[in-house]
Formats: sequence, C-alpha cells, structure tokens
Amino acid sequence: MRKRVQIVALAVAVVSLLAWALLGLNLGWTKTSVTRWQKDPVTDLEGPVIEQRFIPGIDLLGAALLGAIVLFGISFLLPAKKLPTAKYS
Amino acid sequence: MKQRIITSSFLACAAVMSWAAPIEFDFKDPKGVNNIVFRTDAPLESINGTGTGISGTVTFDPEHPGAVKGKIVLAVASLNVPNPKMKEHLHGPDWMNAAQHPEINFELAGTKNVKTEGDNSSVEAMGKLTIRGVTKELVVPVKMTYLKDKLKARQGREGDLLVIRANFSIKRSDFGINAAKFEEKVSDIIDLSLSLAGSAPRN
Repeated sequence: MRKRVQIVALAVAVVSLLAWALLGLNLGWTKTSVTRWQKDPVTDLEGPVIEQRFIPGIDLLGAALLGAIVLFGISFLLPAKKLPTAKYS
Repeated sequence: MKQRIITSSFLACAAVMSWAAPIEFDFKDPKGVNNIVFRTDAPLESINGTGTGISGTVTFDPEHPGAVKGKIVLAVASLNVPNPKMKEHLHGPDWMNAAQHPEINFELAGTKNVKTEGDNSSVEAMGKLTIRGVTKELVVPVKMTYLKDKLKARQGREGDLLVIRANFSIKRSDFGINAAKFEEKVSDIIDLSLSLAGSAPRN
C-alpha cells in the first residue's frame, strides 16, 4: 500500500514537471493568454493580438510538487507490507 | 457679372476654408490596433499589460498642429494581463475598480513647444487625466503623424489618418490606485505607451 502511494506521488511530481517543461518552462505566474504583436502596414503601429493559451507557471508547478510531497509523506502512515491474512484450520 | 463675382468669391472662400479646416478624427479602431501598454517594475515583480478599448475624438488641423484638441478614452474592462488572477485583481475594487470607474480618459486642453517637420509634429500636450475618478493635470510629450488620404489603404474608405504616439509615466498613488500598498510587487510608477490611429472619413 505504501509503495503504491509513493509511486503515485512520484508520478504526480514527474508528470507535473514534464507538463510544465513541455508547455513553456514558464518561470513566472501561470498564464491563460499570450500577446502577439502585429504591425499595421499603413500606420506602422504595432497592435496586440491576444491569444487564449494555457501556460503553467511556477505557482501551479509548486502546488503539484507540494501535493506530491504531501502524498509521499502520507504514504509513511500506511502499512509497508500487505498484512498477512490469518488462516484458521 | 456682379453675381458671378460674388459666387466665385464665395466658392474661393469655401475652398480655402475646407483646405485649412480642422479635421475630426475618430479613435475607435475597427482593426483593434489602437492600444495602450502599461509596465510596472517593482523589486519582486515586473508586470506588462495592454488596454485596447480605445475611443474618443481628436480635432487636428494639418496647418496648425499645435491647435489640436480632443479626448481619448480607454475602457478599463479592456485592461489585460496574462495571469487570470492578476487580471481579476486589476479590475477589482482595490485596484482599477472597473465596476465603479469604467473609463480612463485624457482630455487635451492645449499644447506647447510645437515642432513640425512635414507631416510629423511633436508637441507637449497639456491636459487632464482621469483615472478611478481622480483628475490630474498632466503635460505629456506626444508625436503626431498626419497621413493624408491613407484611410483607403487601411479601411477601404476615402479619408485621412492621424497617428498619435506618446510615452510617459504616472504614479498610481496620485490617482488613489491602492496607494502605498504592495509597492514591492507593483511599483508606484507606471510607464505608459500609447499607439493610436484615428480616422477621418470623407463620406
């Protein structure tokens, strides 16, 4: 039981790290939009184009890693081995 | 003969007046290019955002750029930052209070130090900036570019364009924007960059 919970905790940590890395390695806060700048050829002005995009930041990564650590800690409250089943003859 | 002279004189005057008359430019941009960029740089955090809900009108005379007058309005609801929680705080009652004060506006009253080179003019624009219900008089350096007959290339209609660019700073404490709080994360000084194009269609 303990082992299983520890594996789940490790999986949460790894998946969250991977997701954060693959989705932009964002060292700031989580973003739900990004701004792309587009030049108007007539006026030469640059205007923002706001695109909806989810980019996890260190806040989400921190929460996920903290969750993994808590889960790992909880695992020590659980039995290390499967308790033997009593046999009665 | 007399009638002809009067008519010709009238037409000549009308031609001169239409050539020299101030033009009203509308800054509501159907292309969504008009924007204000705001930046704060505090010890713990730098914040960049945009505002695109621009409207207002400016009257500009190509022959007398210093006589420019008008009002530019920014919808507070259009202020955007990438983090959703930060955006919620920005619009909330402690910061910009979009519900109670939905608009920021700059009313231009006059100019000084006017310099003109061709279609480009730089002025120091004197006006009143109102944010969160607080009005302050400001002098803002502004660059204007008059683009005669360029509206067709942009919007497919005959007319002119007026491009306004400005960079200046304000203090949020001057406008009661959560004054003296969180200065380690949100600097008191806010840098603003305006990039605006107004259109004046000719029917």
